[in-house]
Amino acid sequence: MKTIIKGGEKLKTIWTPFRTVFVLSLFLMVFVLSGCGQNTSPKENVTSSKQNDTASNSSTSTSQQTSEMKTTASPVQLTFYYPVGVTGPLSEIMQKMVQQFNDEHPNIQVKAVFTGSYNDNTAKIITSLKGGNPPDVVISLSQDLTMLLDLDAIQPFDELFASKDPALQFDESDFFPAFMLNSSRDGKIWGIPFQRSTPVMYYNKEAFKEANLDPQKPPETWDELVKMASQTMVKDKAGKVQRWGVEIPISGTSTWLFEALAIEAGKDIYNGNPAAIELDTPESKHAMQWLIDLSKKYKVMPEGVIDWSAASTDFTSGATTFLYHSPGSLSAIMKQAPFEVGVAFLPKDKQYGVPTGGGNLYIMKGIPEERRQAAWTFVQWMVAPDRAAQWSIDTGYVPVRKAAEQTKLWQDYIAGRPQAQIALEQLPYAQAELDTHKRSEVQKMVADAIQAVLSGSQSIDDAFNNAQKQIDQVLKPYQK
Amino acid sequence: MMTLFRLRPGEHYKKFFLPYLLIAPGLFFILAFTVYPLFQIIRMSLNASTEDMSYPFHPWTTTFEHYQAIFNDPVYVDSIFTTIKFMIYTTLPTVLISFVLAIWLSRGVRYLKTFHQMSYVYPMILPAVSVASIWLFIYTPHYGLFAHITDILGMNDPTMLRRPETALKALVIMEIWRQVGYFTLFFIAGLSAIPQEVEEAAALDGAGRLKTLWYIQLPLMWPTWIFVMTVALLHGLQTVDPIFIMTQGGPSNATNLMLYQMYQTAFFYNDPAKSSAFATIFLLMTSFIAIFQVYGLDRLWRSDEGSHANR
Repeated sequence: MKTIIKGGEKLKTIWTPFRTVFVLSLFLMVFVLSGCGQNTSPKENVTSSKQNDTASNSSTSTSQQTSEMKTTASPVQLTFYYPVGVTGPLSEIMQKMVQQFNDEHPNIQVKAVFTGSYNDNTAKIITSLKGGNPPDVVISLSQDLTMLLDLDAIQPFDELFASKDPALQFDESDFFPAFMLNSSRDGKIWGIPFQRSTPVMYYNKEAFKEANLDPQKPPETWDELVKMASQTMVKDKAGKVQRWGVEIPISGTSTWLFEALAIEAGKDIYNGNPAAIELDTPESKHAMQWLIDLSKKYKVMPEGVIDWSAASTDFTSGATTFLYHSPGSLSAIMKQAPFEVGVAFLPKDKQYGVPTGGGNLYIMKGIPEERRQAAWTFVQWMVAPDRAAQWSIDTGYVPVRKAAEQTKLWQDYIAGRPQAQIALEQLPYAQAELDTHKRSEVQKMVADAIQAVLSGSQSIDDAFNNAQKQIDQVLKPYQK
Repeated sequence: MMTLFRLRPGEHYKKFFLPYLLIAPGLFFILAFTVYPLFQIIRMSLNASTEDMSYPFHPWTTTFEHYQAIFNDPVYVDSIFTTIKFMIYTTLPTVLISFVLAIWLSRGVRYLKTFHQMSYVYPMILPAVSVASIWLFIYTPHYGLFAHITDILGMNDPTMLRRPETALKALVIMEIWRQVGYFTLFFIAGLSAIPQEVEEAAALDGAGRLKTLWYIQLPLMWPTWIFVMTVALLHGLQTVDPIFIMTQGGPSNATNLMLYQMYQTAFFYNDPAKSSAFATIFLLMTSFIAIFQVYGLDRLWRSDEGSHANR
């Protein structure tokens, strides 16, 4: 009995201080939660602490933070959202870059916020806008331009071009024209190309040699591709496929590679008019017919909807000879593939052609003048030639401007890895990528139509004509 | 109500004020984070304007256009049916398998009992996203586990996730694997709550294993069954995580569950009103299941003498 009482006393001595801590933490929790409504993002803290009197009242910022703000003559605070759209440690690289910027610019402090995938990033930008708490600078899809304009969320760069920092060598005419297609609207420039690409075709040189084909001569037309794909296919004795000829992954809501096929067939489904999509044209139906023929007629591609990320692993594990993919996967593919990898243009039907892709830098609307100027400095710094070249080397994206291509950094790099040059050489054939009003919805309708055909549940005519009707319905309010 | 007046002053505090004070913190969070958002969602779904609705007394006009838009759009209607299909496909096998497993684990298994229990519960403690990643690999064509097994068996790889006919089934199999252990726990608890004397008496009367199961264990476990069925149905209805990782609603919208479509509508189509309307439909479905449990089945079986043993 005695021991039990002792134990009870012991418990009591532990419990009493614990209780205080418990009650305090409960209070703290209520405090933090009730503060959620006003102080969701760090940026809000920053703005409130800039108005010095509210800073001392602010419950969330500790006294240490406030004193820090006061001593360092308050640098301009910027919030910067960025997504990561390809595999690799890109977030780390970006954080280091921003750190470097902050070190070089003591009067500007950029807070880089990693927002996840492109889709998550777009969702977070919309949410922050609706919450009345937007960031200052963002990287977002070049396809998001129309949406951002419709939301009245961004400002044009044209006025800022007057105040360039000569040290950063910014020149808007230096960017590759193909990348500017998705950056300008109504004669104004709204986005600065940053991480951009065009799809390329990877091929397995080992498989070429096995089939007695010249690995230096990749297919240039659709017909050649079909021929070489079937020549390099490998089946076991039971007739089961060990290695497929080609994989063109069109999964989820992505229409990127289909746009490429449609351009190659003669006409893009998107012609630069944000209020129209032309899906029921003979050209796009022809492209779809070829895509489905690859699996149904020529039997060189697996049937069904091929997943985007699984496809690159298929290629590196030798399960397919050809792969259509992003040049952003180049580093990962070169690292994983146990064979020699070739990179080539997407084969042509009537013409070569690809859509561009990737992300632009945008400056949000309605931010104070000093933040606007700071954001402009940051944007110029981010696309300075050496930095742009380094970013492309680190990630696999295409250098966005001619000055970056001419840097020693880039020239040395492609000397060792000529495959990286292909996407750049393909640029003259590149066109704008799909960017209509209500883009997510419209793109999903196109993707649904493609998948309905791929999975065999609808004919091309039915699927495409239906989708066209639906899309016209959605875009009707925007047509002038 | 009369008791209120008959009480002495001090007792008011104890009998009426104190209980409410004690539940106040919980009540506050439920009101702020469940009831208020629900109210807002219903408001938004009925409002003609898609403008800012954050003020509770914003002027508005009642309309059903968002609901009409949903029922005229095959993608949304399909999404509802896909969700119901998914719910039924996962719930029934899950509950049956976990019941059998529970019987086996608590009565049949002789060796390594804890090991068995642990291995069935294990999937439950994994985060849903990890489970989805694991199964994404299992279903990967060419070199995934599934492809290997079919290869050894001499069959063609069904490439489950690439085809709309099989993609949903692939997710159903994964969900069953994930949930069986969880519900087995409830059934084991239910089984151990059956008084030993009842089973002994049945054995004395000459009831065999199957008869005990049929006449004793099954009826005495009805409350557990109802609880498990409800939770499983709601669980099936609320699945969304694997969709993000594995299929993004495809191929051909075959795995486009309601929550996923709702998220897409709100954040990518930038259409909070339509999304709210869809959420309200979802809410009706969940409430239907909950009401079914609370007022229907529960009351039906409460009159049954046997179930009291378990309460």
